[in-house]
Amino acid sequence: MKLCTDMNESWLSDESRLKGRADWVATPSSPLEMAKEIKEAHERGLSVSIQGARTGLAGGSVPFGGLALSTGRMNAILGLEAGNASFFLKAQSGIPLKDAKQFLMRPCGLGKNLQVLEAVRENHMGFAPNPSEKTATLGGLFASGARGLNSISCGSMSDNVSGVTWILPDGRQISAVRGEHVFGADGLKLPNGLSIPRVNGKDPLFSQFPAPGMDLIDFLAGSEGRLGVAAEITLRLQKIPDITWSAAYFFPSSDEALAFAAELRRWRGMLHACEIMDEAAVRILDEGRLRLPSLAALPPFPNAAAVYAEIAGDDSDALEEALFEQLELFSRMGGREEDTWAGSAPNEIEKFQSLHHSLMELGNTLSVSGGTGEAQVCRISSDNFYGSASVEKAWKICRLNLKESGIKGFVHGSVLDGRFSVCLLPTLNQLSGAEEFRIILARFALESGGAACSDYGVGKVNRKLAKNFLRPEMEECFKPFDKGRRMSNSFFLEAPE
Amino acid sequence: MKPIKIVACVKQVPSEGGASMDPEKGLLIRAASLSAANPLDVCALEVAARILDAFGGELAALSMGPSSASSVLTQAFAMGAVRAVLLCDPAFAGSDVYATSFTLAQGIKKLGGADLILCGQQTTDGDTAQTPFALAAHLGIPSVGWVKRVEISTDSLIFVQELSGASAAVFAKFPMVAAIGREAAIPRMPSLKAQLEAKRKTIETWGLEDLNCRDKSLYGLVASPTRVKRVYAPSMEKKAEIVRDPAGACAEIIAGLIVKSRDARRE
Amino acid sequence: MNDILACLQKGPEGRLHPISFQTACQARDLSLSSGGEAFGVLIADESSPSLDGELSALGLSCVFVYEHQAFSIFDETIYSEALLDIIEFLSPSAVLIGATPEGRALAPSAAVKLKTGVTADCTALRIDSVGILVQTRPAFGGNVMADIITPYARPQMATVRMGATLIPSQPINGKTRILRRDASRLKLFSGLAKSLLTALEPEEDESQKRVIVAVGAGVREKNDLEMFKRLANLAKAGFMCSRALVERGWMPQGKQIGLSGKAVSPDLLITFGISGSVQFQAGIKGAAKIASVNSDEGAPIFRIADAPLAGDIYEIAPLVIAALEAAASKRRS
Repeated sequence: MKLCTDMNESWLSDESRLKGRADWVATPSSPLEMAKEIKEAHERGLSVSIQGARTGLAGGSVPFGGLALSTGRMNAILGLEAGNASFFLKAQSGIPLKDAKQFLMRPCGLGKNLQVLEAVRENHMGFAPNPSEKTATLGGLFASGARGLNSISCGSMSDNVSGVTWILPDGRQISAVRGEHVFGADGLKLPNGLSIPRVNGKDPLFSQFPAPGMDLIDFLAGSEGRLGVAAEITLRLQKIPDITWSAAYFFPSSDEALAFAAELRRWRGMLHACEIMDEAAVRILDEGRLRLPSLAALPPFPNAAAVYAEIAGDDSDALEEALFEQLELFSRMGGREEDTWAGSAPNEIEKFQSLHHSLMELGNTLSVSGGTGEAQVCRISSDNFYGSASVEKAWKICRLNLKESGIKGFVHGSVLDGRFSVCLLPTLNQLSGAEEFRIILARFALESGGAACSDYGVGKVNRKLAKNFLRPEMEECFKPFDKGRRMSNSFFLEAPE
Repeated sequence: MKPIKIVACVKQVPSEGGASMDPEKGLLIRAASLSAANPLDVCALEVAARILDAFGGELAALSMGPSSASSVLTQAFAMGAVRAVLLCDPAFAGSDVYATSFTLAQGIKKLGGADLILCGQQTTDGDTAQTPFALAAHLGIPSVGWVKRVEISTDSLIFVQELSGASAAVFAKFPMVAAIGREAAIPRMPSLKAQLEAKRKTIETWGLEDLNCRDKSLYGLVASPTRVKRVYAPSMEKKAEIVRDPAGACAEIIAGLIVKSRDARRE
Repeated sequence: MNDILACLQKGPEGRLHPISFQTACQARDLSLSSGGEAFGVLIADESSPSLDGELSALGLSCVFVYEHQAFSIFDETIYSEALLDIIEFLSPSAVLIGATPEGRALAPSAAVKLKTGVTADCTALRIDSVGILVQTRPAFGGNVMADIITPYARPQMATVRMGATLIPSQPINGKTRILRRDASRLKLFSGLAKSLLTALEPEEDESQKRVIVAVGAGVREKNDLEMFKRLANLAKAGFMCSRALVERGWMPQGKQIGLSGKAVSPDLLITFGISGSVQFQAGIKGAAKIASVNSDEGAPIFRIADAPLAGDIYEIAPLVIAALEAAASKRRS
């Protein structure tokens, strides 16, 4: 590791725009080097912040003193293999998702792996999850427990990980392969002596309480640096559907949009994703057509609120029938034909899928540059998983609270699994109101059997909020990992104001 | 204005990236990439739709390519085309601009001609914006290129084109070819109904035997005046050491270069 | 015949379009290899003594001028009548046309009528050992270079881009005959009625400036362009961009550097947030010195930049502005 200098200034922030500081920096290029750096930091009592592509919105990669360790040089593809009824792509954790996906699309000096690549292509296999931030690294996606728009059908990021080479906070290395280490009635004991106790109850933050039957990999996923870091990740490929259809339905009001989304949910059909955007969100997207390149090719939005539905499969007739059913549903509820957008060509689908990401980018931009000219502070978001049982109620509560708070913002999220994001753009004197707002929503989410901080994770930005809901039992689970010393990504470490 | 018969030429292009050279074997490697309709051609379809909204008439879409290119014609249906033809035949392979535009011209003649022929000015797979002009020359009709705006009023249609240092307004007089640039229109997103109906429509596929002119020597590689003599990887240039200094030092370097350059010209 | 014909173009304010110097220069170079003469043709509404003066300084054996009112607003159908006329008269081996909007329309239009081919946007042109014009340009999306030839059809035609070659700073003196051709017997009618709109403000052609500042995809928001424009102003530099910003609609196509944009050959090119694809690089082959700022060390532009600076453009640009302002106030005092 080297002393941190001015040159590393860009290391001190990520998409949360939080500014940190670091005493040391390191850029290992292999698991061995990474383990060495972390071991040294542990011995010297330095906290460690891991950095992937620094695209996080919660400040997870922003260091607060100690060592900032970048995985930027650990971006190699390690191998592609055929295995257990599937194919497996192994790569270092610092590789951006889009590079890993692109590797599967085009050939390049692979030698023997070329045949496997051909087989992967012929069988139309790929890495299924579709997170909207494609430049994030595999390690970052794993550590933050990312999911894509289509997680309902293909699982979250971690569901598609079959193995990791994991570096513990003290520098020891463990290798976890799915199925080899599963929590039992008494917890889990690893070959190197690490012993994790079982905990009762429900984890309010990450759904991560080690219950019997949980795989070690799923326990490590989403731990945001608390339990260590992945040096290498093996992805399990899935069959990618041959055909995907995107359809957007527009409504004059958010309530009507919700009614339709709820109907779609009941119908279910072949839905892979179903997102809803309120009127404020659509308005921001519409205005965003002049600001963001990803939206520049879109015509004006036909109406105020929107529901996005994505279906996919291999049978084109079945898909078209499903779409006719959706259309039927839509017009029965008063929808107008001209208030729909649809497409199935790859570039058309791309336009739809980028809406989610563009919305987040715009939320960020508006908070930083103060879009309306009013003094804005920072972007505060409430991202909770409300449990699939009370989706409609959750949506209404989000919107109601937003309206009552008087704070400017918008609401959007996934209707299929009840994950809603409220993006708040408070002025200075609304700041404490915004914090309270988040706590109210988080409490409601927990009462409904969901979890808080579900989308962007806790990071640094959401620590204050997270502390309201932390269970002391989790500490018992984590202790064996870091022997009491904490990496800075730990959500117990105080972040300076 | 009377109803207008429009033919739009649409090309299938790779949606990202192109081929590259395998440095060891010296072979061309084509990327397995998804394909899409050339964006400017979709703009041309939008212009066609707007013109038809105003004056009535009909739109036929024409594409030349392999059988997979039919997907771009489905998009043309979704944008309002009532007829779509794919010119597909091994005899057309290896065409350069001259032969491609000749083939398209034959397709248009077989369609019974048109008042207005619209195309995107150029494609994203690196073509050189020649096709619309070459097409017009084969048909013996005038062309207007670099169209940046289309002005539609109750009784007139004007194409505004970008020339060197000025714009010119061109009053449409048929028959003619107009090549559409990026600024001319943001294409509509087809509605779900339009997309579903488009899937049900039939794309006509024409080969050499379906055209009026069946002389094989006038199509494809043999009819192309230009030939690719060889392909090779671009040469790697000399490498200067990447400077990773802090922002201040970098800024000094740049400012220094600017000042030095200014002094050298004694400004 | 081994003669090379350069198709020249009238530019703003009654003078020759800068690209004509390029075209003439290329034609001259090629004629040395081909063993023939280098000719020029100018198609314009009216000539003038000063224009004639510029024509004589191009170093061509002879320049043919077609003057007629019908040429006042460019129309490829009408212009190609004149071009076809001189080509029939001279039977040149090759014809070079400047790649302006006019040239890029005229070339294919005339080529089809001549049943020959055009290679456009060539990055290099040369006559090979058997006298064929080898036309080099990027192909297949840009990662591959292709040498293209027109083996049988004549004339061989190519369009030449601005900045494709370095032009000598001294005008060339020599005996250039200027011959006027009779345009009135040509068919100067296309059927299209055109009218010039208020000519765009005769903005100085940015691509001609000796120092150019170019911005690219690394610019996050349209409003951020203000800062970089300011930097360009302080440096008295042209302000241009890569294709990415034109596609976003943030800057007009006329400001684009690259294969489908302009080729520039400034003394100094400074790029901010441009990765430097092959298409972009094709537009800067004439740049004498290149300084590039990009946060991605793997950016291809770093391979060709003389000063590859890895960093954040949002941190560096303000500091450059400050340094230039300081230097300016120092000069004033």
